[in-house]
Amino acid sequence: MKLVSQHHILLSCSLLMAFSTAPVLASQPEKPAPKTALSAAPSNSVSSAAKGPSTTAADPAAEAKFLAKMGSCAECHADNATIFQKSVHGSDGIACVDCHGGDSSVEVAEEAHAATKGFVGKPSRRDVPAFCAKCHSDAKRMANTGLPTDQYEQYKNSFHGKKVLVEGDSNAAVCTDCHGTHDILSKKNPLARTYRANIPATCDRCHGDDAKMNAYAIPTDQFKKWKQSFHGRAVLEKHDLSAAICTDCHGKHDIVNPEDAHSRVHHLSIVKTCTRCHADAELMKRHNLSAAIPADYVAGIHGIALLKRGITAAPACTNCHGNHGALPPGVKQVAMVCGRCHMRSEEFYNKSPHRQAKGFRGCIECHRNHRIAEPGSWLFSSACERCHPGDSPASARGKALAETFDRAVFTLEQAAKEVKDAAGYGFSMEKLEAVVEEGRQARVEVVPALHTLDPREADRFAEKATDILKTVQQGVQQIRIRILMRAGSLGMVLIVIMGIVFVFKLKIDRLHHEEEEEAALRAANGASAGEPPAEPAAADKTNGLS
Amino acid sequence: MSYLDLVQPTAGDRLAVRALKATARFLEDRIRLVSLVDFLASKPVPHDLNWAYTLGSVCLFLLANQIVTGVLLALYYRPAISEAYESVRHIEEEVTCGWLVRQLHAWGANLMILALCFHMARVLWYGSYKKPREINWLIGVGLLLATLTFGFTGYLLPWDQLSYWASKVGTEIPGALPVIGSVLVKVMRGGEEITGATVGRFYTLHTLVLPGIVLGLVFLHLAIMRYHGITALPGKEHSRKVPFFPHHVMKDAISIYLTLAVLYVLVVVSPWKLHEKADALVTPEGVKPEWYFLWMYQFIKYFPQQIGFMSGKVVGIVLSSGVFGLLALAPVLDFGEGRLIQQRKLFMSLALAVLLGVLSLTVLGYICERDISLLGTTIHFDIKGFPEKVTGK
Amino acid sequence: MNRVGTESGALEDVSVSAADAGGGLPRRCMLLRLAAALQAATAAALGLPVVRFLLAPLRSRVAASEWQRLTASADVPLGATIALKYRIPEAEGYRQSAADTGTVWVARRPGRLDAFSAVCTHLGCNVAWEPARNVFACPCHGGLFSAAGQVVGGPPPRPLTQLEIKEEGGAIWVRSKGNRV
Repeated sequence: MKLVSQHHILLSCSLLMAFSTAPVLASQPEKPAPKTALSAAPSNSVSSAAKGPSTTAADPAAEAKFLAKMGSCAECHADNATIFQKSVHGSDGIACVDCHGGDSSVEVAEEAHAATKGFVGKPSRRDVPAFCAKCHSDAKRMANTGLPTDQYEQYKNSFHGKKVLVEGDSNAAVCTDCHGTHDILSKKNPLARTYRANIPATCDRCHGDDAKMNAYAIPTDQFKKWKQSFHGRAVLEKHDLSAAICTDCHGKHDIVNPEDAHSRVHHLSIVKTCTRCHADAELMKRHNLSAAIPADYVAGIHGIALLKRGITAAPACTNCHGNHGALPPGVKQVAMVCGRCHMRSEEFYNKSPHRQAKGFRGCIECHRNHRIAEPGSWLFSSACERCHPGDSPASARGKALAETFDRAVFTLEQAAKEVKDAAGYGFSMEKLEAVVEEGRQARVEVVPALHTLDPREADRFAEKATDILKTVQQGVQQIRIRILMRAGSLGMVLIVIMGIVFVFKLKIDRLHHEEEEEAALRAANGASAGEPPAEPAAADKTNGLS
Repeated sequence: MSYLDLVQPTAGDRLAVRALKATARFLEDRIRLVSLVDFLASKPVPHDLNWAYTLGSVCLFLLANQIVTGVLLALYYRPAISEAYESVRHIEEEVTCGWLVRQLHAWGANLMILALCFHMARVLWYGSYKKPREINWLIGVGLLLATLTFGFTGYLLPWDQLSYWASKVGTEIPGALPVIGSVLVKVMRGGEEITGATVGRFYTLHTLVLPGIVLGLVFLHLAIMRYHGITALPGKEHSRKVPFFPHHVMKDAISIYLTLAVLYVLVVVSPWKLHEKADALVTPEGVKPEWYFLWMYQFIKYFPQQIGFMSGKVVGIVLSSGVFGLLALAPVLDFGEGRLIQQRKLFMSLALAVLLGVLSLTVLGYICERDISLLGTTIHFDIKGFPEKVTGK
Repeated sequence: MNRVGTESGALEDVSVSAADAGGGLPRRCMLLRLAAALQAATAAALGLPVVRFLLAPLRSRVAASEWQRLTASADVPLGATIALKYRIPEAEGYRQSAADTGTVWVARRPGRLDAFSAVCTHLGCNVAWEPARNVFACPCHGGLFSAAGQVVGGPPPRPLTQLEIKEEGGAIWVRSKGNRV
């Protein structure tokens, strides 16, 4: 049951996404009727909006038709009616009573508002979602609008919906907060709060309000950051609606807490969310960006760590680029950004000659940015040559450094192998394992230090590795000697014991043989003398307890 | 007939023999020592005793081994939780020949229990416990229990992870008994938990109390055996007798030397590992009791939580302890006169059934919660010893 | 292990039964001698580890003595003779203990600074400085040592043991020359 509903939500999410990200929504090939209805409504509103606040309709016939729909409501609620007329609902021929109930054919307010006539009036905030859902969850009613009908379902499972419907906290957003009430406009109307370019400001109405957000410990600077971000500037300054707005990453009706595993901005889902746009070649070409970046990241060391091995400490897109204020880090900031996690490396890199080199872009110059390969000494042969020619002294120095490092690592591996092999002998390897661990530690420590490009660092490491191997070899040698001695003693003991056993066995057999002969002899004698065979054990007769 | 009778003495030998004879005469005149030894050595035994009759001597040898190595270990061992593990590690790694002494003690203990089982099996098989030897059989059962207690108390002393947790589980089991359970556990542990107090108790039992009991029982066992003489093979009661020395002694010696060889091979080839130091916070994988308690441990697992008004565990404990009761009662249950197998079919089938049960429970106890690889197939056995998951190569 | 007992029993047994030793075949004789030799070898093989195990403490190595700071130089003015504690490294079972178990008498005289172990060379009691008599006196058997550590009375066979001493950085340091002194 639960699974089904989740599937349902996911499906509808992706459907919704498809709709919202498609540059031109109206290019849906099917359902011609709703298409015209949809496109007619906004154009109507736009034109009326363009003419400013006005009751003068373009078409008097339509005006009359609208007023007829309003019935007696417009007599008292003229202001609402005026606003409503311009809204997507008003222009679509929906009457007041369709939502609020009551009777618009009577003139007396009490009668028109009578509960017996199904009057609902103004719903409380908590009741708003169900109020809207009456129509918007009704597939039949929505059939010729082309609108989806799963918003209410999505909303019920969203963070906002749970706050409002389950916890009864009506401060969280309901339909009207984003869509408006009587003034609801189609999201394609540039004046609509849900128009792509307006959505960030719409969200900011609540999310920029410190007083409101404090209760949830949610920061309020997202809109400010977004405005300065690449995405925000594209939308607001270049009027490019394809750049990301709040809902593209967070979802719309189905927004959940970023720590929720279902969230599109959960640390493990971020990459997928960004990829939705950033792998789109056509879109990226427009912004002069490469569409290969997501694939590069996935193939890189961070992508493998996060997505394949599930190491959540590994960075996703936003850890380097920021989230709301997403920007590519500048040249000067690269080392800083990487240094947030790779602190020691940054520290040592700042001491290296590259730090001062002109035009050197920091970490990414050798390690690349998205498709970061497992670092190793190979970097010194391939990365250096990108700037230093193969026969230059700098290149040679790099290679020498790498060689020293490699040799030391090999030495340490040898030491570890010796210990591992010797572990099978059953001796306590604690001390030797500690020595190997020391080597491992030294390796972990030398890697950041090598960012200084100082050959002495590598030399020190190599020296330590050699010492460790020597210590380990001595220890293992001692163990082997002990084993040999034990095996030797075992051999000798076995030989001696086998000797004794052999001699004793020989002796026993001979005793038996003699006794049998003797017994036979005695039997023969006894038989001739007519006596029973005597008890042979004579020694017992003096001391018997019995 | 004795050892020296067979030697052609040389001049040097003659001098030595004369000195020995003088010493022997001196001791004989005062404490009749030679007569005593002579009495023990000349015990008449049936000439056709087989090798199974040397198992008692093997047990005696292993007991001697335990005593000597145990005394040696006590010189360096410290019965306190802050020092127990370290001192055992010190013995194992730094004291000259310490590894040998410790391994001889550890393996010796296991071989001793094994030898005891075989010895008892021999007595059972030949019905040697029948009148008038019932009491000696009872003493033997007592020795078995004492030896098992030796094993249980000694296992904790190295204070490594396995010994700690096996002892924790082991002392927990009687806790299920009604009324006295919790008292028993507290008494065994010297408190609520396994602590230094437990080590102190176990050490005292292991090095003072039990040796006294076992030596006393062994003395009685041997004295009574000498009094009755060794039982003949069933149906061959009237076979020719030979003196205990040298005939049987040599046979005993061969068995003992072979045991020593096995012991030494085990000590060198497969030494007992000292695991990490006991940690009350981390339970290692696969905590199981020593092999000789495995059958009991496994048996209790098959009982449901509750049987009628009693807890299943209690029923399991009582039933498994019943095996020792059966052993003790063997002379009563096997009441007939005859010692031949065909005269005791009923009892022997019962004994075999119990034996098979114990053996299969031991096997189940060994394989449960373990991956067993055989011919490239790995089978995982669940807690009750049923195969659970089979993985190919 | 218990073979030895049986063997001696056998030997005594012969003295009582007093059977004559003749009649043994030479080959049989050799077999028995071989058996005896082998048993002796086994006994030795089993006995040697036991002895080595017992004597293991003889092999334990004491950590090399290091310079240790005793006190500030100012604490020992000219003419003073004071007793101070110092650490004696010692192997104790599995651990190297380094308790402040030693007493050292530090004496400053014009132009020299001496450190004497307080252990009397007679039977190991601790000597005490008696300023009135200007001697180190042992309370056990009345041994007397001069301010320079020489025996001046009583049974001690040797002068007091001296420790290496130095002054460095305003402090007094000593080092024992090896084992317990």
